[in-house]
Amino acid sequence: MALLQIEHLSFAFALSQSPVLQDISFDVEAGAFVLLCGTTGSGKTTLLRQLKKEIRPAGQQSGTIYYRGKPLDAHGENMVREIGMVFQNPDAQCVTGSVWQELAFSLENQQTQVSEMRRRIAEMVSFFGMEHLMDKPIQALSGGEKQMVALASVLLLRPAMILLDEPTAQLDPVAARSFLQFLKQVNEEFGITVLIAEHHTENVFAMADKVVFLQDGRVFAQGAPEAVCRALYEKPELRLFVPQVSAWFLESGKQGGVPFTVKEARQRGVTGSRRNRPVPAGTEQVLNCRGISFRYEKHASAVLQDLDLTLYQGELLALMGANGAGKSTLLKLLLGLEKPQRGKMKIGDGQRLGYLAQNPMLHFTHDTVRGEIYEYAKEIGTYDAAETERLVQRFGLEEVLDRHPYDLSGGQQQKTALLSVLLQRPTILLLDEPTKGMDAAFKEELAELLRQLKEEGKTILMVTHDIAFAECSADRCAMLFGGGITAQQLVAEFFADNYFYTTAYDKLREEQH
Amino acid sequence: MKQRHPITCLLYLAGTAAVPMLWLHPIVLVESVILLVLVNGLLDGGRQMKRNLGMMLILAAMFLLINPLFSHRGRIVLFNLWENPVTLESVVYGGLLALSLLSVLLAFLAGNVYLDADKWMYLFSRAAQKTTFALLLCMREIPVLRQRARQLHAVHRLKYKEERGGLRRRVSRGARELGALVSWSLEDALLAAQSMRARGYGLHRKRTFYFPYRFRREDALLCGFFVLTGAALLYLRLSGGLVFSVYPRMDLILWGVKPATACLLYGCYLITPVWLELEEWQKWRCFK
Repeated sequence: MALLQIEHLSFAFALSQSPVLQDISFDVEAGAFVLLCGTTGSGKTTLLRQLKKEIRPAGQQSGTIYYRGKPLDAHGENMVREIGMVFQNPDAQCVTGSVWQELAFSLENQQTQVSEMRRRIAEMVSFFGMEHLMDKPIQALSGGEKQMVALASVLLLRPAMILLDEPTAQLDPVAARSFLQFLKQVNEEFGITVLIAEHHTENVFAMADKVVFLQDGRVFAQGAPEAVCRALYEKPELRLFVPQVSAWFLESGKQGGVPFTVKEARQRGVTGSRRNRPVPAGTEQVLNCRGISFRYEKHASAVLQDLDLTLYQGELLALMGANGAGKSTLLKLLLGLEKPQRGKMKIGDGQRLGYLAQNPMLHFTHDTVRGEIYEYAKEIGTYDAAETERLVQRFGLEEVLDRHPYDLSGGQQQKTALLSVLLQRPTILLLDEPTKGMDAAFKEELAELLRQLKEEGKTILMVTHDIAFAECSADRCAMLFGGGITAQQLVAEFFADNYFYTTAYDKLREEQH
Repeated sequence: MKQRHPITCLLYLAGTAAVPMLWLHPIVLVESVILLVLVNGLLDGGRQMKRNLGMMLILAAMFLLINPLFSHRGRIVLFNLWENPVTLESVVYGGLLALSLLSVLLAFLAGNVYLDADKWMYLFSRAAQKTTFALLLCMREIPVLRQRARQLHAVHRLKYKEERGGLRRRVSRGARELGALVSWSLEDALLAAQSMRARGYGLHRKRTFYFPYRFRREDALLCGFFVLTGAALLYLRLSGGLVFSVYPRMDLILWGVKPATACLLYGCYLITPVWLELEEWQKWRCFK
C-alpha cells in the first residue's frame, strides 16, 4: 500500500472561480523519492500545501488524500510530526536568531523534555556535520547552510515523509547540489519518503524514483523519470524541462534507456551541440578597471586585489565565480556604492549604468505593476507613455499591470524590475544573478530579451552562477577568483578550456579525453 | 566565566553591581574599579572598555562636578564659586559617587561579555515563557530589518540618482522606501508564520524551552561561594562601623579589621573570572 494516495484532488482558492488544481491523482510509495515539477504557476506549491493541514490555504477542496490508507484529515495532530515541510525562502523560514534555537524550535512545540531535546539535537548535528555552525547567529549563515538548518529542524521530529517546496531555488549551484545530495542520502539511509517540488530538474531527475509533471493544475505525465522524460520531449513547449543530456539523447534517436547524467550519456555515446552564437566583442571600451583593490575594513582581508576588467560596447559579459569571490562587491564598486582603495575605474563618456538587484523585491515601491512602471517613468521623466507602453508589450506584462508586484511569479517580478531599470535609459546594464530561482521557460525568455537589448546597443555585465544560462546568452565569460579575474575569454573558448566548471556539452566532448 | 551557567553569571553580576552601588567606601570603590578593569581586560581584551571610555569618563566627571555645585553641606569650605560655598565634603562625596558609577558601568560592561543575549533569554524564560519567545522573535528581526533597509536604500538611491527634487518629493520618496520595507517584512512574516505552523507551533498551549546550559558542580560551588561572600559582606555592611560617612561630618577612620576583611572578601569575589581563567590555563598546561 502506498504511503500517500491522492485521488481526484481539485482545489480552488477562496473567492476564486477557476480551480488551481484539477483532478490530480498519484501515489507516493513509502521510502520513494518523488519529484514534482511543472511550469511556473502550475500549482506545485498549492499541491504540497494540501498535504499539510496546518498550512492549507483557504478554499474549496474536493477529492481525497489518503495517508497510510486513512483520509489525511482523519489523522490526529501527530501529522505535524509525520509529514515535515521545508520551504523555498531560506531567510523567512528560519524564525529564531541562532542555530540551536532554530533546531530546538520544532521539538519545543512538541513539549519535548530538555534531556531528550539535547540528545536529539546532538545526534542530528553530528549527522549533519554542522557543529561549527551551532553558536552562530542565523544571519551569518549562507543560504545553503540555512536550508540545511531548516531541513535538520524538520528531521528532528523524525517524520515519515518530508515535503520540499523548491528548496534550492535561492541557492547557488554548488550549495544546491550538496543540499540535494544530502537529501538523497537521508532518503536512502533512513527510508524517509521525499516529495520535492523543483525546477532545477537537471540534478533531480537522476535521483528520483518517480516524477510527476504538472501543467496548468493537471497531471501532464507521471511515472518513472524515463517515461516522463519521453512524454515531455514529445511536446515542443515542454522540451525545455527535459534535462540537457537526456534531450540530446532523444534528439539523436539512439536506442536504450534515457541517460540523466554525463556518465550515462557518455556510455550511450551522446554528443551535444552549442546553441549560442556569440558576437565577437566590439573594440570600443565602455568600462575599464585597472588594478582595483578593495577591502571592507582596514584589517579585513582584501575582497578584490589588482583586478582588471574591460567591457566592450554591445557585448554581454558573464562574470562567474564562487560565493564570496567578490562578484557583488565588484558591482557595488562599479555603481559607486563603495570606493576602491586602489586602482582606476573609467566609465566611457555618456555611459549610464543601470542596476538590477539579485532580489527583484528591492525594486518595488508601488502598489501595482502599473505604478512601478508608468508612474516611475513619469517621475524620472525619461520615457513618455507611448514608449513605455511599447516596452511593456515587449516584456509581455500587459496582463499583470494591475496586480501587486508581490503577487507576481518570480519571472514576472524579474521582468518588472528589469523594465523599471531600463526606464532609467542606461547604456550599461549590471545584472546580479537574474536567473536565480527561475524556471527554464523564463531563462529562455530572458536570454531573448537580453539579445534584443544588445542589438539596441546596450552593454551588459551579468553576474551569474548559472553555467547553462551563461553559455546560451553571453558573448564572453570571466572568472573571478582570489580577488582578481583569472580568465576572460569568449564563451566557447572559456568553457572548452575549463574542465570541471563547464557545460554539459563540453563535458561530453570527446577530445577532452 | 563565559562558559558558566546563566544563574551563576547573574549572581556574579548582581554582586559586582550591588556592592559599589550600596557601599560608598573609598577603599572598596577604588578596589572595585581596579579589579573590574582587570576583569574586563581579561574577558575581552578591554575592547568594550576602550569603546565606551569616553562615555564612562564623561558620566563620572559629571557626577564629580555636579554634586559640589549643588550640595553645599559640610563644614570645610574650600572656596566660593559664584557666591556659593564649595565644601570639601561635597567634593569627596561627588568623587565617591563618580567611582561608584564607574564601577557599576564596568561591572555591566563585563556582564555584557559573560551574560550574552541568549543567557538573558534563559533567565527571562524562567519567569515568563511567552514573553520570552516573543522577545526572541523580535530580537532576530532587528538585524534582519537593518540589513533589508540597507539593501533597499542602495537600490533606491540608484533608482532616483539623476534627479534630486525638493524636500517634499524627497520626503514622499523616503516614505515610499519605508513602505517597501514594511511590506517586504510583512510578506516574510507570513512565510515565517507558515514555517512555524508547519513545525507544530500553536498545537499545544505550553512549549518547553531548550537551552544548551547545564548547571554543573562548578556552578553550584561558585553560586555557594557568591552567596556566602555576599551574606558576609551584607553582615559587615549592616553591623555598622564600616560605613564611611561624609555628611554631616567626614569620618576619618578608613581602616580597621572589619573594613580589611570586607575588602579581602570583596576582592576575592570580584576576581572570580580571573582565577577561573587561571585554572583553565593551568589545566591546559598540565595537559601538554
